[in-house]
Amino acid sequence: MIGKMFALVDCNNFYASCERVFRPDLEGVPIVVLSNNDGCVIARSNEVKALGVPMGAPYFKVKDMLNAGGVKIFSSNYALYGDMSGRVMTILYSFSPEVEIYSIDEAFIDLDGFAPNVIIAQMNALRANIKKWTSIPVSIGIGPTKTLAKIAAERAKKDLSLGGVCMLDGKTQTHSALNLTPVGDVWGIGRAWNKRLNAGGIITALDFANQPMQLVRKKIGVSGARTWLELNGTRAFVIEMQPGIRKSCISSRSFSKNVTVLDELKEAIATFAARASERLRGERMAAGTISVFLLANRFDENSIAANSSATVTLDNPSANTVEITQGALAALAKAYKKGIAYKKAGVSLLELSPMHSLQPSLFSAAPDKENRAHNLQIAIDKINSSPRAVRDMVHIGARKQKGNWHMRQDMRSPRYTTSWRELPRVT
Amino acid sequence: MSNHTTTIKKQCSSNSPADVDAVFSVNAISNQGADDTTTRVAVFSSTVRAGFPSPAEDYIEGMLDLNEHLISHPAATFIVRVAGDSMVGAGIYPNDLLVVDRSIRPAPGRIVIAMVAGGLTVKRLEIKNKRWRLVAANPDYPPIEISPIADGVEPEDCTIWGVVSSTIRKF
Repeated sequence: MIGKMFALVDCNNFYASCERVFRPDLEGVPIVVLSNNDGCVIARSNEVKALGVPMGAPYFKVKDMLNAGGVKIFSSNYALYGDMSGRVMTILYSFSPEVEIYSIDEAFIDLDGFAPNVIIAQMNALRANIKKWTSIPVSIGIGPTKTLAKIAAERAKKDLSLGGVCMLDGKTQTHSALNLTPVGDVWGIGRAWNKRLNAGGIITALDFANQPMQLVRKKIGVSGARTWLELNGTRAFVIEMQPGIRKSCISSRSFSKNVTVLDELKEAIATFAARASERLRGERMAAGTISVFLLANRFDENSIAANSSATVTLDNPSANTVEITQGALAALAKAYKKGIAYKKAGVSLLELSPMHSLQPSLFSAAPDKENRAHNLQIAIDKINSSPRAVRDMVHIGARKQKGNWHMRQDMRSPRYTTSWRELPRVT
Repeated sequence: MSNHTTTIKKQCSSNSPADVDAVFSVNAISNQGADDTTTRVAVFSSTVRAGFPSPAEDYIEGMLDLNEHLISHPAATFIVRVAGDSMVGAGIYPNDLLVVDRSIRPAPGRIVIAMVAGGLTVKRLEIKNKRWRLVAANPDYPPIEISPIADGVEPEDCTIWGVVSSTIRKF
């Protein structure tokens, strides 16, 4: 039986795929992308996965292995990734208004209202569309719950015979997909739980789904029970989930009515920026790049042409609401077009790094000082969330960079799509 | 005697614009600082029309937008810079910018960006002797054969990166 379905559109090895867009010579060549400051591996092409280079490996540890494998190494280029992500999301949005951008390279589409017998054909067409327009390969997983859609997307990525699209709409199919999925790979099962579950003989997602629900609730609590329900086909994550931040932190919302006025957008963007930076601080992370996207009302004429995004790079990674809001508003000014009826907007924070790895100017040695900074932050958050926040926004004087700290990104590719001086060259 | 200052600020109304045209916030500030009060009242609850509408109202437009003119599918459009002289006969010179729209289907006669020898090159797409080929607009460059025409094989599947929709040259 087919009920309502979700699709998860997941870009394959997104950063590595972005590096290939203007480099046909890199097709089939192993690629890694390093985190900012060239610290560790944050993206791997399939060829690199095959070499056995683990995700998150410190660069210095795998350097020899990468060189021996002829791997092409890139510093991260968030201007490019942000722009390519905006393109993919724009295509999704033109396909359906029911898009929930989940991370820089993943989005859910609510397929409620799609005739079940055409879903696979539609998703194949969408996948081909994204590939043709942007050259980014995606996998699409379809399932009755978000957790199952995520598992389906993983199957679509791993099982090449599926042609990039996998739908879990029957018991047999769902069970075999769950059986192929390690329980630790299931959304909402953390690393700690993975170990304990494995110790208890629960190895696959199917093992987990087959446990009595009461037992799951008793042992793992409500969140475990939700995951259990989702695996068994009952929607338990109704609202946007807020899982741990991986590569990006996004805050966005559809407006209840179209917004055309810049001031109103500023207000929304400032709110999103504050929310996203709050989450960032909660995860003890900082962002180096801020991207703002605006989606036009798709029922307006020329609306797809009106979608836009812009990216701003901070001098220093920050989790400070004011800095992030300033960056977001600067990006908004770049992305905003007069006369467009916007339906949705959002802020994505990219180039995330752990706060403790920040340079001294942001890292307070005295915890007391840090607390004060935090209190100031809260006070500013309060002021800025007042209705007149934008015009009267509290600013902190521009922070001067201390010392000669610069982000190391020796191997960054050109910002092909956002810098006039770095455009791709054709002979 | 108290001195009342009234400030009026236009706000974006949260209701439908048809119902409420404007909500004003009135700050009544007394000269005894202690009992400052702020009251928010809806001053108008219906649309106000006064005088004649400007005859120019219907014609107010933004500036001409070159993006709008040159780019019909922003998500699929990329801008590249020309680095060679192989297309001078088609009016494409070194340092020109090309607008490349990947949503356009490559067809014979179109100027395309192709992936050749690991790089990107601009050429005209043609069919000759049942084969797709890339032809320069400069006699110094020989045509490049790319693939035979086979059932179901489109040139974009292998070699064509995108279709050039316009060129931009600064003098």
